[in-house]
Amino acid sequence: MWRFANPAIFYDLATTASPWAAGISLLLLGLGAYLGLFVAPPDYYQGEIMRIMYVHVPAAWMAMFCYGVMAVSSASGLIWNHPLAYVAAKATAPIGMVFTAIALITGSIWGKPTWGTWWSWDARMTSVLILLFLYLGYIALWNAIEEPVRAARTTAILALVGAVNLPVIKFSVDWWNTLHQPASLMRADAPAIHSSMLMPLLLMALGFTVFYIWLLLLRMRGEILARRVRGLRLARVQAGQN
Amino acid sequence: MGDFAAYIWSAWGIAGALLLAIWRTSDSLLRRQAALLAKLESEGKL
Repeated sequence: MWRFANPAIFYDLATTASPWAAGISLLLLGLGAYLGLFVAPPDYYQGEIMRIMYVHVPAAWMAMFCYGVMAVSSASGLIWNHPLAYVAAKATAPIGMVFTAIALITGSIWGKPTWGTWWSWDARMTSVLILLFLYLGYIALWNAIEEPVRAARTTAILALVGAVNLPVIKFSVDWWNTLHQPASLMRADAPAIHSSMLMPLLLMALGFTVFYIWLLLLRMRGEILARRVRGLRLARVQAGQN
Repeated sequence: MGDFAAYIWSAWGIAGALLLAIWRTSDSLLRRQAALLAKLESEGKL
């Protein structure tokens, strides 16, 4: 298992896996989008507008999942000083930020015809907006610190502190009175959603997950190469000084 | 999709555009670094 954590071995493995991840994610997203937009029945209460759910809900799940990955990778980096852990955390941040933005924007578009407003400062929406700021802060901090080891450790601490927001997002609809509806799928009893709607939702969620893996592999490969470039430049500078 | 078509297509369209944008930036990051590394390695061989 640890063999794959070697950056050179991981790079080759990621290069092989990338086209597979790309193909599978596009297939799943295409099928999920077709079923969600054209095949799934309209909701008896909300009607056709409910079709936004098939992109909004999986994006919101991914926004939280990516932050979870970032926090776990950061913790691994801090504890075991693993070279790929920080790379994975850094590569995940922009992808998670995009999923968070999608969740916020599609939620806002869904909110206008159903709640009569684009935005409300309720607990769920505000905590997801804080998640977006955490991603932005994490990326900004990485770019602000020049020394890579110090940047990795400082951003890891920010990622871990920000993880407190994840349970707040999840349980915000239970802890406070919010405009946002409570969980329909991830609940103790059976999911409160018909299988004809559940199928496109799960396909989109799976498609987003594989899409994330694809981009993660792309970005991690880019970061591994960037480190090699930095190493070569540093070696040249040192050779020039001697 | 009736009266809600504009909302539905806007939501899906913006999501698609953002996913496309993050893929483009991730792909170009990898290509840029690969080109840089190839250039540095070829300079080293000279």
